[in-house]
Amino acid sequence: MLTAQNVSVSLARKPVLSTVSFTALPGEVTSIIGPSGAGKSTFLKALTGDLPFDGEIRLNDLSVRSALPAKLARIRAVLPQASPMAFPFTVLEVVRLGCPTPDRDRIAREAMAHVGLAGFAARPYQLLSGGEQQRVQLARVLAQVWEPVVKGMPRWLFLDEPVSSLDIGHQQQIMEIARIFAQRGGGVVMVMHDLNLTAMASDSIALLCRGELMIQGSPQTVLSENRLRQAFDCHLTVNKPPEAGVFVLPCLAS
Amino acid sequence: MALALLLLCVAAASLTVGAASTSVWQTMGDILAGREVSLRDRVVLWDIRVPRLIMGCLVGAGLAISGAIMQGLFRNPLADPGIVGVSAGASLGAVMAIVLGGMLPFAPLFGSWLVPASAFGGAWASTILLYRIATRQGRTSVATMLLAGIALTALTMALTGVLVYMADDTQLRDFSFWNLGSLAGASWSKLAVAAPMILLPVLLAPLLAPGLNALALGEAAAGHIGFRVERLKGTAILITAAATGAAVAASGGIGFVGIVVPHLLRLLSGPDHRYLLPNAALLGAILLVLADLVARVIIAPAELPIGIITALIGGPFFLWILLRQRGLAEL
Amino acid sequence: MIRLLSKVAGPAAAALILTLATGVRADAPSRVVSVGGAVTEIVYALGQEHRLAARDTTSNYPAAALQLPDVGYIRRLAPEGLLSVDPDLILAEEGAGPIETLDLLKQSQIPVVPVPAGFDQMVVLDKIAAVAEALGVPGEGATLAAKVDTDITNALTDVTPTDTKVLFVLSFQGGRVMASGTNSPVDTMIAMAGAKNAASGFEGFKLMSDEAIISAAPDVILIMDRSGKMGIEDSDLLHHPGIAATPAGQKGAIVRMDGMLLTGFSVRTGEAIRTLSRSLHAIWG
Repeated sequence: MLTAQNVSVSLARKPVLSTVSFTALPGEVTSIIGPSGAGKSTFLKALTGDLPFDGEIRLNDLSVRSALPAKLARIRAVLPQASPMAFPFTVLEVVRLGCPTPDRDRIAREAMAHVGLAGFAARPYQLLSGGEQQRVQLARVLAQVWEPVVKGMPRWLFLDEPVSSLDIGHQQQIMEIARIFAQRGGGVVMVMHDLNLTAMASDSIALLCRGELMIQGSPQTVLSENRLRQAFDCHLTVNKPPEAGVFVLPCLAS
Repeated sequence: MALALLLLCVAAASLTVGAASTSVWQTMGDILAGREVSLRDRVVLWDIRVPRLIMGCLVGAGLAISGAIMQGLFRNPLADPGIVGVSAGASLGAVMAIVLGGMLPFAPLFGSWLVPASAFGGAWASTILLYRIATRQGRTSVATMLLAGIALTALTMALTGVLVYMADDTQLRDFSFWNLGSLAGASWSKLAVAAPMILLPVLLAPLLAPGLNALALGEAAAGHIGFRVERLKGTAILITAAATGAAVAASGGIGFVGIVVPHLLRLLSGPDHRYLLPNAALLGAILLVLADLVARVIIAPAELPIGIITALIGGPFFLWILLRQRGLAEL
Repeated sequence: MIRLLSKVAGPAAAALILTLATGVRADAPSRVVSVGGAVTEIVYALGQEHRLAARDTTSNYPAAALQLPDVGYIRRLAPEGLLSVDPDLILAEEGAGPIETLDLLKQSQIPVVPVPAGFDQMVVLDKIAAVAEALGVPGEGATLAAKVDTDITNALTDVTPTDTKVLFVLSFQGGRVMASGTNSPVDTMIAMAGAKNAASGFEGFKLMSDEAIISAAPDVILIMDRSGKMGIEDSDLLHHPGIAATPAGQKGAIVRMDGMLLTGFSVRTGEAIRTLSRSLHAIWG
């Protein structure tokens, strides 16, 4: 389980997050949404231990603040928003980077196949398209926590806007991968922009607004018309057809 | 493996060729067999060529591996140890010893060690200072280091300039020769001091390889994979300062080895630091021993400063890298 | 004759005759490396040039010396280069180095004889004595020293003192003037030639600003004649804003002298005094 209690973060002496409390369960996909500048990415950075924070964050009962990087790395992997590589590494070399030592080649190749990059092993990473690079990074992250549950302990994926540079087919593919990881017992926490994709893929949604948590709950609960209008400050309609899902549509004021 | 063999060949060539026409192999056989050898042959082989060869290998390996580490740390193939102020600091140390050395009461105690000792001190002082400047609350900002390095280099160069202005004609000559580098001063006693200073960092460096590979993803990602990034950066900088400082102290300013060698190896065998670092040490040694060979014989019995040779090779190569990279960017 | 004999009787006999002819002991060094321009001039003046095996870069007089192998710059001698000419004596002017190289030579049991450096009449005689002693020709040394001593004394007597102020410009790179202050060979030579050094505010060689040159107000600019290459053009000097405003600049008074003659303080010191004095008087009377 991932728990955050009264987490506050200040950047350059300005408060960016204040007293956010939040829970994510293994076996579920938990999404963090909110308007730009709400503190979503900052919150994710606190959850992964990249930013100093006040309050308490525990991952599988490990204190994120004090745990050694190596220990955290064994139970969680983080997909950054963008990942330029410094040197001309090949795709396989990049994917292998985070892999635990034994079996790293087999796992890396399976992870590459899983994201649809089976034939890319020897390609230079720097020459791939943005979308392809994003999927290589996803394969790397998956390879780091390839088994979602180890010795009864769940492992975690933290994804920062994983579908932002992808077409609709690949968006769907990534969401599929996240769901499979959760179904096999792992935990997924991701920052999302696209509300419809979020509604489709998430078990739980946390809505952040101006550095505070407005609500956390199921898509049906969180994605209400009034709340979203208030949070995003715009006109929109929410459809909840009885057969499936939630659909959020923007409306033109005129 | 191929590089190790090549190093052996180059080393053999370097022992064989020189201004003095001595049959090295016969001399060596005679020494090993315990036969009488002429004093001159003994000195040429044992006191001149062998220490010089070893010094060349050490300095080349130290400079090349430092370059590879700095490039990994700064995630930039054009970085070199000069970025962390090592070279400028060493230069200032050297010019201080050359110009002010005569005024210091204790200077005669150091004798010919004064300039190298002072250069080494300067290299260390400037690196530690820069590291301190760039480190806040236990976090070292590589970007701050780069910018502060430029400022610090400008400052050290200004101080060097003041001393150069104070210098007389011969001191100026001494300093410009020091700046161009030479392995001519290699001796067993210098090796005894320089060898551990360079060898230890060179042997420790490959331990940094996995961390530097991860760093290619960026500092945050390296941390997510499980590396203690701050410790990694600190170690990398210390290793570089020790190896470069000792190399520069032993041989003066020898440029471009630290950039050319790692870049060449990345083209040949990829950017993986687990292979890059040991190979850089080997190729650096090869390149420097070769350059020294040229420096020794090209105008024999006089010698050319080795820095001229490495710059003659390195300058055009550096340009080629730049042009090639622009070509890639336009793809 | 010696060459002819050597063909007939073989090298050993030639060496013997040579030894007899020059009065040198048979075990005296025969492969000498001369380091320092002044030292090399003395070796030639002693008539011992046939014993030279090599020279350093600063040894460029007499012209015949240029034919000898060059072992490098006086302060940057390479040990193997020196050993390669198979020397049995190194005549090293004070300041030759580095120490490591000299140590290695001593280790190889090759004698390194220091020759004093300096710039006054006495030191010139000391230089000659040191070189002659090391070469085993003290008699010739004494004769040469006496001759040089008389020559310098005569030259000094002949000099008519003037108030001409001389600025020695060592280099003129990028339009920046590096001049000689006090306590330098040139300063002494200017004084010996009966003139005054215009730049007296500092020691050794320093860059001088335009204003400092104007206030020094030299009557003559003295430069080293490097026979064209790397040399300083008269027109460049005269267009320099500092120099143009001085008496020397307005009159176009530039004196060129061979560098080794001017600063060497060797056997040609008397000639140097006369040459410089004559040139100054030719301009300002």
